[in-house]
Amino acid sequence: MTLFHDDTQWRFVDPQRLLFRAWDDDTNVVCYDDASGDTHLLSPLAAAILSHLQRESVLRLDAVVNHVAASLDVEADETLVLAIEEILSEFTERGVLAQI
Amino acid sequence: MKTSVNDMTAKALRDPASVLALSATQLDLLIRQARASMLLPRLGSRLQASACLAQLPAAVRAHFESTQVIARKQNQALHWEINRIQAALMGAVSEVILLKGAAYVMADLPAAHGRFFSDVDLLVAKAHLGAAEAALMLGGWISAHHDAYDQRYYRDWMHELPPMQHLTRQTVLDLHHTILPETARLHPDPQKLIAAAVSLPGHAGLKVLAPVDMLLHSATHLFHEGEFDKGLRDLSDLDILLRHFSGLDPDFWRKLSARAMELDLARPLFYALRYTTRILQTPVPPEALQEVSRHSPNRFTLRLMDTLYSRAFRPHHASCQDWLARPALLLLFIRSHWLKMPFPLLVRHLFHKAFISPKDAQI
Amino acid sequence: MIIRDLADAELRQRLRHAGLRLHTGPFTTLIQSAIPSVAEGIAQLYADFPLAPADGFVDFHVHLAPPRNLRRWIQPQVLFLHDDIPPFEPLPLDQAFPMLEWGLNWCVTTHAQQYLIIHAAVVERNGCAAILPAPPGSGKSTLCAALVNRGWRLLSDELTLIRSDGVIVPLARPVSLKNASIDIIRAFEPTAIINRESRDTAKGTVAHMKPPSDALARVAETAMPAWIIFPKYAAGAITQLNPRPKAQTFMELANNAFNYTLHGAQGFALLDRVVSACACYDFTYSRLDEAINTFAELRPQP
Repeated sequence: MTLFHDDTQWRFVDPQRLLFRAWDDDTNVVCYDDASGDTHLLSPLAAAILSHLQRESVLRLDAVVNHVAASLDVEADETLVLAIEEILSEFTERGVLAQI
Repeated sequence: MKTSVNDMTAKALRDPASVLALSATQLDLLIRQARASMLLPRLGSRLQASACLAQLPAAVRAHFESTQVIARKQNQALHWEINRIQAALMGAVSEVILLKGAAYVMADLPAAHGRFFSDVDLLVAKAHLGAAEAALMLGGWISAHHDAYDQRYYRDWMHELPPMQHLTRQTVLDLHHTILPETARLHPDPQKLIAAAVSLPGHAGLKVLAPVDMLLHSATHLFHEGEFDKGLRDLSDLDILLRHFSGLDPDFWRKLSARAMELDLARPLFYALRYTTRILQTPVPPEALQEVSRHSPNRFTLRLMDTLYSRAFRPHHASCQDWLARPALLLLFIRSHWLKMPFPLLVRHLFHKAFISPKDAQI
Repeated sequence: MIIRDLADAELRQRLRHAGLRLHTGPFTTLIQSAIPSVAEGIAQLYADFPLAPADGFVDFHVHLAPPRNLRRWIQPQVLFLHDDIPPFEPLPLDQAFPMLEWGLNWCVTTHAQQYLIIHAAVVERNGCAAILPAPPGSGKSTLCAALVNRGWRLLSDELTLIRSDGVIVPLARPVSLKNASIDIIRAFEPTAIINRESRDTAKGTVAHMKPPSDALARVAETAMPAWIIFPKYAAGAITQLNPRPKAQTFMELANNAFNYTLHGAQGFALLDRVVSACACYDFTYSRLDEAINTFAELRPQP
């Protein structure tokens, strides 16, 4: 049912061009993409995915699922995987990420 | 003095420091003329480069700041648009040539600084046109003109694709396979242009025209153009390109004339050099001017063209319009269509546009 | 010298011919019009505005005139022109004064991109500004009109101008009122000067309120943003101020800006600066007096 294989990989198209900002009163993050000029409101899930990629520079689907499950303290089940895949597809569509 | 009002914007471009001597009322008029001619950001860049901008009053500077915000955004938007076009065409078309503004920006030419952009113009080999159109449609661009008449105008009569517009970004893209419509009187061979195109470092599959070709393309379009609201801006583009390329290559003028002959574009080159030297004092060597003057029209036509074009290259502003301006622009409009279309088609087209198609609420 | 210092005949003369030059916030505007209701509206609502010199630089050249066709006489219309170009379709002549106001707003949102411009009212007290963004119909203008008659200084009722250093620059033009709010404000503050109504506009019945004199006297005084408050009028609602998460406030403010996307990375940084400096709230209310009290108790965040 899931879109991608466990070992599918992504990278940032250009990590230099993303600006993030978060405040203490909330778990959402705002993100500006200097290539497209778009500004996004990132859910905690999306923010966790992008921050994982910032640390690792290459993102494997299974690794990010585990990392996110641990940091958000949720189960690494199919619902989570699908949610993550949807976010990865959206970011790929918008040119923020590219599949390797 | 009416003459100096007509020349005010051109003079500011030629000699930015002269702006410092203008009164508040004159500065006010200059800003309005430059804005109406889409030259406000370019004038701002010139003033900045000559260290004059900081010396102008804050209220005047504010207008340049405002327009720079827009110009910077458009530059960013253009880069992104090219990025998306590359992504869409990857695998479908091996190379695509950027034209006009898109080329200036991606090749980082001086003509890109302080300029407004609208559509992206691309050139592909005719054989790849179908694949390119299909790949772009998959990427979210759709044909902008839905009117069946307009579709025929473009496809069957002008042998061009109608402009394409992106679904979400609303940006417009023009996909060409020649630099002039096939129905035009002049037939510069697109194969030659494509063969001479130069790759853009760091951008696989993207090219721009060789310098002489870029110049000739710009000149050809300006002197086949029907609408001159950007006339002075386009002439200024030519001036910048001529100065830039001749500065890089001492042999540029000879190559330019030779190529113009080869592509059957000597007449537009003649006009380009004539009016850039007269209005913007482009430093064209006398030998080059002499060479192209062999392709001048007869004296009577030339005088007529001078009268018409002197008005077309004024700022598109009420302060520069005399009683002759409107008929002059109309004559140039008809001439432009005549250059692009056989007469029976032209009559049919103008009739249709005037009486049947819904009017755009363009102001 | 201010507009009130001009004799009525002189005011009309200037409007009809060379143009009336005045300072509108940080801008200099030249207005030309032979239409009587425009002269009346200006005399009433722009009385405190400073005149600008005859040979100075002008930011906006505007003209309100009848169109050059049959609509000059039959069901007469009025055109707004900026530098001789009409950006909008003509409106019925009765709406000439509101059209001037809409047109002057258009001038700012089109030709003053050096500012980050938010579609919001903004008022000030003790150097601190409260930004009130709200979609039409939320009661923002009524609330703004009430606040400026109860100790708050009017900075702007429609366009909040944020300079690149984060400071709010006052525009202080007449406050627009619509439909029911016209009578509400008349009752709330009988001394407020409100001009004659224009009916059947795209927004219903419209009138404008003269800015209090202190707004003009202090128009050169900028302010720092301290609160971002999203007002919502709801009949019978309990007056309530609820904190709003900053990330969402950021996005909402960006969506309410005319030109956030034009400013790119600098816009992101500027909006961050503004949102970080402000206490952010949603505000529901049904009674103006309670709303005023709530605002009186606002404190900037530490």
